[in-house]
Amino acid sequence: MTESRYRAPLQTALTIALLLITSVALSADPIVLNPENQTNVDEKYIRSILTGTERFWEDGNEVLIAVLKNDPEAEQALNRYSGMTSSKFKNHWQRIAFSGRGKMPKQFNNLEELIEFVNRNPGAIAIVGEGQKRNGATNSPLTLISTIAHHASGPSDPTPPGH
Amino acid sequence: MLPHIKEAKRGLAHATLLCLFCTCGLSQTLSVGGFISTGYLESSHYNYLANTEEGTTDFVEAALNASWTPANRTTLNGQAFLFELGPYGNYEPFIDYLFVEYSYSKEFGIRAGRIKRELGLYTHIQDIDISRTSIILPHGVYDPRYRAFSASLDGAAIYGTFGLPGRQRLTYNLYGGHVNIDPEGGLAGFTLTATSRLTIDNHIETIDSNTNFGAQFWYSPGIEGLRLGYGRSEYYDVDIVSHGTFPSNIPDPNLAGLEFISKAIDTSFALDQFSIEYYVGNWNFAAEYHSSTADITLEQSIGGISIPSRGRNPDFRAWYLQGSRRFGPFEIGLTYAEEPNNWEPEFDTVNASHQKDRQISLRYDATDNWTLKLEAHSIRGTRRLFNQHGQNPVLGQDSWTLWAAKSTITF
Repeated sequence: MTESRYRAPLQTALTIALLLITSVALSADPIVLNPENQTNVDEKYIRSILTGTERFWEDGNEVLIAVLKNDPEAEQALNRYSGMTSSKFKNHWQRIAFSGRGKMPKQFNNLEELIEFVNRNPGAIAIVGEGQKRNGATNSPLTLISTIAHHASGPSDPTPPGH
Repeated sequence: MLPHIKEAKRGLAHATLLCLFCTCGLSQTLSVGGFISTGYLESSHYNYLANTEEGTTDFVEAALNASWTPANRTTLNGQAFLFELGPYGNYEPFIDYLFVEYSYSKEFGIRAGRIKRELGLYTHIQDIDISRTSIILPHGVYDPRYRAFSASLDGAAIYGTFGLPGRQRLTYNLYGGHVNIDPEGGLAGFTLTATSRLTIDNHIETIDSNTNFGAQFWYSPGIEGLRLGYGRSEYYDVDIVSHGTFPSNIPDPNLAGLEFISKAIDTSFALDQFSIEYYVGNWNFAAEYHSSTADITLEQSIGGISIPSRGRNPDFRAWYLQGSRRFGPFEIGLTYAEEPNNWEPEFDTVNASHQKDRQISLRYDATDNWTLKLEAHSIRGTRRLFNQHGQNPVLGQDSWTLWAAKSTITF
């Protein structure tokens, strides 16, 4: 009797909580891929890409990273996914690029140029801010990685790359 | 260096430069970059790295690199480089690296050609000023005068990264090949320094090497920003023959005018380096311990008469601690580096047996592509001072100061 009385509100609360969690997870994935790229990615995989450990996608295309310059939201997203501040990220990639172990991430001043770059390069991956994702990237034919939460296989890889 | 070898190297460097430019239109996946770094050095005493006692701008590095991906998982990478550091470099362009790379997976890749030699945090990026807070890397562990045989080798490497249980990870890089030793470079300088305070007209007759093998491992224990490294590098069949002449005013008149020949044949070196690096937020910390041992068979003669071999296998140790913090476009760093008293003094004063350096560095990223740095060193000891050109004939002062400034533009 008591159990059935509480079951409905409990189910409702759980459903709302699940929706909220999913919503947060979906809105917090400002990663943009070229639509040809069918790779299933999770946060760990994204971390490997942003640190230069994974340099090619599963289909063999080279990873080309694109980031927005001087954009606090994009920097916040970059920090979250790479585990590095933007200055550390730049420094890290300078070490890689100048020793011939990868290509420097492309920096863009505006979203349009960044999206055009991702559209043009099958191996491109871009980090954008929440605002850009809502206002710009969703209107383009790009693949928004809003499914990381579904593919996530575990905690993000927090370790620095071995370059 | 033999003239035809010098010409060949120069030609190869020019050809690579040409290739780097010509490939610009080949593919969307071509990436071209580079940097120009100019600096200033001045010291209170002694001439360290260059003629620093009077202040010098002979402190320049420039590079042009390209990376091209002609096929899936395959890249071609090259960098032409030149530098000027006092008597070293002389603005002559050469190939820093030029290799083809196939990355089969994250766990396994292969590089072949002229590849960068990895040992510790900075050996493979020692020329890249913008990759660090400081201008001069901790001496004893990294010495820019040795870059001719420490930065690159002609050979192959395999590399990769393995995930371990939990969030751990292991990265490896195994390499082997042939290293080129510049007869006017740092190893020659070190060799001639040993005799230059006794003899005159010192010069290198032969300096050559055969093979270099090495491994670098990085272990990430799953703590954000932390990695631990161990690297080992071994050089085999290094031959160094040097000549000098005892001056007429030497205290022992029997030696006056006699030729001194020193031959180190089939020498081998083994270098070990332990590293730790940790970054959190705007903080960055690093420490490294370096040791090297040499297996030397030394044959020496004076006036054609052999003298007993010293029969000694010297070993060197050096370490440093480093911390830095970023404040917006600024970064400030502190370093303590020490090459302790691990080798008995000879020829000189006791100052030459050690060198300790307290260093403060300031970096300012003026724009995305322009970095300025200032640095001050408070140094005790003269262990790292060379004298092959007579630049440091007397080592009477224990404490001295070095200032450095640098401007780097990247593109």
